[in-house]
Amino acid sequence: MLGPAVNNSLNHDPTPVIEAADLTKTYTFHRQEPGVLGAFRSLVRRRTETRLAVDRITFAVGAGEVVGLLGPNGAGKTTTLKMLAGLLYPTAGSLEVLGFTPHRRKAEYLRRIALVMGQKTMLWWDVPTMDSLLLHKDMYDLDDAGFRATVGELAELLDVTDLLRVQVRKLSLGERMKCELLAALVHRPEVLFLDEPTIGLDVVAKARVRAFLADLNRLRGTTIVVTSHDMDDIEALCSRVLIIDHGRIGFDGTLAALVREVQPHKTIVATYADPIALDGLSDRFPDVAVTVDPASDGRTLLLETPRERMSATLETLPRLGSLADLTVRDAAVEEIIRQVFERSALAQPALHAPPTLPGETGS
Amino acid sequence: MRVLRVLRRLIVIDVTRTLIYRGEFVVYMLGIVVGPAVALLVWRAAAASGAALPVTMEYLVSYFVLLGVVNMLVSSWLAWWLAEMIRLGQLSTWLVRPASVFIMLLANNLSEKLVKAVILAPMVGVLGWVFRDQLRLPAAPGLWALFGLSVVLAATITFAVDVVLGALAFWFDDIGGFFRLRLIAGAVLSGQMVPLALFPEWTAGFIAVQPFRFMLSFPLELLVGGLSASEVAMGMVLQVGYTVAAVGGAVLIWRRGQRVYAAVGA
Repeated sequence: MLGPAVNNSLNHDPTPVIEAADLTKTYTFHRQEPGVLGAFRSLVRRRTETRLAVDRITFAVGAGEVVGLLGPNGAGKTTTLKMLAGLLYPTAGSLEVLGFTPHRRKAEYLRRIALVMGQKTMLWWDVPTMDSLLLHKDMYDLDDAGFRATVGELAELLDVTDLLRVQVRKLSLGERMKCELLAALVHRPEVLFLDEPTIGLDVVAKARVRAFLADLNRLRGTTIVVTSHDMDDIEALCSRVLIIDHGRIGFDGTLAALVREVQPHKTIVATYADPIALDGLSDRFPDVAVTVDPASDGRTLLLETPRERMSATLETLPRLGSLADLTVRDAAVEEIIRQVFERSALAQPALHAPPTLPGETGS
Repeated sequence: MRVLRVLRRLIVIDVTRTLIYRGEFVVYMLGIVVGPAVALLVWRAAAASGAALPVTMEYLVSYFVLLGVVNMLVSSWLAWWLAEMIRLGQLSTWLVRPASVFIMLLANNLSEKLVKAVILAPMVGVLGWVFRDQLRLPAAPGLWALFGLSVVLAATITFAVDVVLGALAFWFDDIGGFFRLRLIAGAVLSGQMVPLALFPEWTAGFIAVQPFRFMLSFPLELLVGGLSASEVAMGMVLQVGYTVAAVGGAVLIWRRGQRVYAAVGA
């Protein structure tokens, strides 16, 4: 158990713990032509360019929410997460997390948050995880009893009790990620930032990490902001998604709302005991795209049904013959997100290369 | 107190880690002792063949026997490491914790020196025993105390200069050029290759005040002799001044650098 469960039917408090207004970040970088000649040219004339990574985004996150930041590579989601964690100075706009300005990195703020990066380790490789945990105990000023209790609880929940005294470099990737989570949570942060927390893990380890994070949110009320390319992570964890594209928020709402907006149809799969007559199907199911599964000997129908026609369609199906099986499914979230990204790519071909600012310089 | 507890814990972790690579450290330390020993043999041969040296053979023996120890005590190796942390985004793991990355770098510095001292002590002991007839060390405790203070100041300057060099990675993709320049200048002007007392007389004014002297040579000069009381006092004032300047510069550059940190790769 992760301590007393939070008694909150919605599982989050509308009081914002994160408030961003017109948050903007531009990166400055130097462009250099390839080869020796390019290197010499850059000595004399170095081209400095600015790139807009996050463009005036405004959002708020309530206490206890689990929010997924989604977007294609280079869309600005990780930059947003880094600003929330205080790693990056925003170029413009305002940002407050737990009442603090993150980039000032006050110790009081850092004690109340944690950042887990799937591709960076917080643990010392040459010593057991317990040594890193003891270091965090000193860093976060934790008392002995509380520390022992928290480590015991988390280790049990993550199933790593036997691994705490093994050198980190001898752990598998999945074991290490669970130990990373333990180290990040030992000070009981109120807000947890996760950057690709399940990257590289096998399906069993992914499921374990997701279940753990869901429990953490449910039982402790920890606010979680997560970026992931794994839609199963988002589906399993997030009550809300922000789709960031070209540095701007393209969608802010629940996954269900996103699905409704992007894919207003549901797919009904109806399998009959015997082949059914196909004549007049379009008249029986107006506005529904009906196809027959060619591998089913004419026994299985696939019906792409508008949500408002669901009830009428389901009522009609038993009249066609003896139903052997019936399933109703939404489009896979992964498919929905792919469609969103593709629409965006068609709308703006420069998706992976955000536009340079008017102030681009060459010096 | 919290900082000291974190520092102590990090030192324990680093000593543990360092002991895993103890074989490598023995080889490093051999290198630190062999260099000065060879240089000493060369200077003895030069003196034996009639070369007129501005210092006594006792000065040279004492200087080169102690050079390895003092060089190890004042050394820092964080510039390259810090630059890589900035370049590859590893610094992020420290910026989100309520403890400065410099506590970790200091702990690494102190713990490795602790292990190196244990390995180095018998090697220097053998070197001192071999040249025992010409080894001269002061008996006055005050001088040893001054030497200790000067070593701490020299180590602080070296550490701070390394922070400045490493922090250049906030703005430059590759700090290799700056790093090598500092190594070359340091090797020549700190007294690491040749005692500063053997430099031509016309350079004496510059050599006496340039900062690299206070990163290695000056503490050694306090022990091996040859400095007047006023030279010692002036040297200490200059060393404190360089320490303040180096630490101040490091703090300023670090603060400015964090504003442009890109936290890549995470």
